Amino acid sequence: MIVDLEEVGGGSYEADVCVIGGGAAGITVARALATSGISTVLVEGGGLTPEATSQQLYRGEVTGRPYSLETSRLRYFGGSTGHWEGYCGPLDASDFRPRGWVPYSGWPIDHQELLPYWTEAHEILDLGPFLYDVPGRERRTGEFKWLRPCLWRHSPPTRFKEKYEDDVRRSDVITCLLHANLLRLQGTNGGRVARQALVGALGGALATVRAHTFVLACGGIENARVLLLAAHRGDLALDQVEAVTGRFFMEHVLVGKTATVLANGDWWRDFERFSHEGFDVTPGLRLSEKTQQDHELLSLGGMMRPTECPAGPLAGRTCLAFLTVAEQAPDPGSLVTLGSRHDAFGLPLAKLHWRLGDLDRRTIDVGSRLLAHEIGRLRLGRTRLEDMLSPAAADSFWSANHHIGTTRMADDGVVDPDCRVHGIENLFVAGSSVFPTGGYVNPTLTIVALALRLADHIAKRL
Amino acid sequence: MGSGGPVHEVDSQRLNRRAFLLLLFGAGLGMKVLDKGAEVVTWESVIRAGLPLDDVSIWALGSHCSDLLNGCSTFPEILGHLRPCPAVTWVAAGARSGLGKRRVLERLTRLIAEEYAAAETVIVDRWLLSRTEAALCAAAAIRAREGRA
Repeated sequence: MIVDLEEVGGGSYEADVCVIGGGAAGITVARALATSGISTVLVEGGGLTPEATSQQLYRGEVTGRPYSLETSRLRYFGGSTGHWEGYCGPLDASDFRPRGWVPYSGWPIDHQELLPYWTEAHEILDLGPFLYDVPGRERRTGEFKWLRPCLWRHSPPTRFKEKYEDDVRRSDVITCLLHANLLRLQGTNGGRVARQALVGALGGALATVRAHTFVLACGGIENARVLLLAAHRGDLALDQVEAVTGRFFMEHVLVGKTATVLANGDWWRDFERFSHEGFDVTPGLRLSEKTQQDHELLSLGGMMRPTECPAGPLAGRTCLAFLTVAEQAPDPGSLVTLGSRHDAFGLPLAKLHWRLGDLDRRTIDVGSRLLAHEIGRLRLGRTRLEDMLSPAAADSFWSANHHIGTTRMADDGVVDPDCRVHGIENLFVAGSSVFPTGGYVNPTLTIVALALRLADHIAKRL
Repeated sequence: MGSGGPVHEVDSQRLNRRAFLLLLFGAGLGMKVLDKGAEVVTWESVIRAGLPLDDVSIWALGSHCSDLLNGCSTFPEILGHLRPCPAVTWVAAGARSGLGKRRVLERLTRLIAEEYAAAETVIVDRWLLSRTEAALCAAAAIRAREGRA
């Protein structure tokens, strides 16, 4: 069922599990637990539609690279699936392995661990079969040396509010509390066990939620903020993780054009979006694992987009822009902290300091050069390169609104391989904040897969 | 290119002048022979096989390349400094033995692709070019300039 805290005016709730955050991760955890008959209170700060007053709670302070904390995420039932574009793909096996040239790289779980959950996540996100190798699509481009073909699959995009509101509303075991903003997460046993969430509506209504297990699923910025607030107040025993919580904030770095390819022929049509068994896919190119090793680069992928050739001698010809998506290296100095400004509840807002490093810029620069060499080697055309290392180029690096890494999964991170917060017996984290590294591919598929895996783990514990 | 790869490529400011001049000379010999054949192959047409620009754009690009050859502003001056280049005299020899334009272009195309694979490339006015392409552009620019003079 769905209950609006503004309407009921308060109360006390109890369930097996309290999931804080009603976005892709939180709704997935609650629905998956429901299939095992496990009761959940799903706490959502917003309502059923976006509201300016609620959205303002996402304001914060920004230092470092420009960033919009307020518009890069949505605060209502369904979360940021309300505005995502639907690009999906699994991480590569190599993304999980430690890379000597990438400090803090390596996941404590491997690619195989997530395969069954990615497959299940495909159904949730309406992506069709879990298939990322469509034979014959690269037939006209020949054998690549430094790059590899890759695919993005397209969710319609699935809006969780549209698709799953009725499920939640009709559920006997899920209680979704709307307009319920987390104010405190309190513990017992010296803060080693989370016991109660205090939630409040902007209109003043208050409620408590008690549960056996708590799951934070508020997104990559708020997950860190909630833990930092709990640590700051001494509500939970977070001594082990406080120093690292919020650090390693990563994005996917988008560059609209690292290179302009003057195409020889129409081979580039093989890189156009097409329908496979009724589901849309977009072919692309990525750096091979060997290339990453040989050149000590991060992961990088991209898509070919037809674009107008610049005026002059090329006018009227087909040019292609290489839309690049690059991994960002984990960097403890790129971080979310508690700011000096406060929200309507008097709680410190998040403060984000996002920065890029030399390896991030070098990956984009060398990646575009490798593309240019590959294009020349395969006789597909010639390439004009942008200077990706110039100060001006940094202005063309956009964020993809993917908030990654602030509660990283690592022995010396915030959560363990089961996504449990180190030092707290019953507090788990869902979402891309647990990714130790982000690869180049969009995170939603892996967010949903990890949420399914977490639900399995919690169901076994209860 | 092996594992070295494009991170080790030279840019236009660091183009190895000797290698560049050698290539240019070889290309010059080859094209002189070709120009005398039954089927006229211009510098520009060879370049256009890989880089489909008009003549003026090729000359402009070539000017960037020839700027690297300090003190060599005329074609005879350049030729006077050069040694034969095996890769391009090989093309010339093929032409002498009666290879047609199509075969010449095929061989040049293969040569250029091999240079891309080996990262024997330069960046000229932001275009990534193989060394042979850059040499051909430079020669085309200088000959065009002399023709206009």
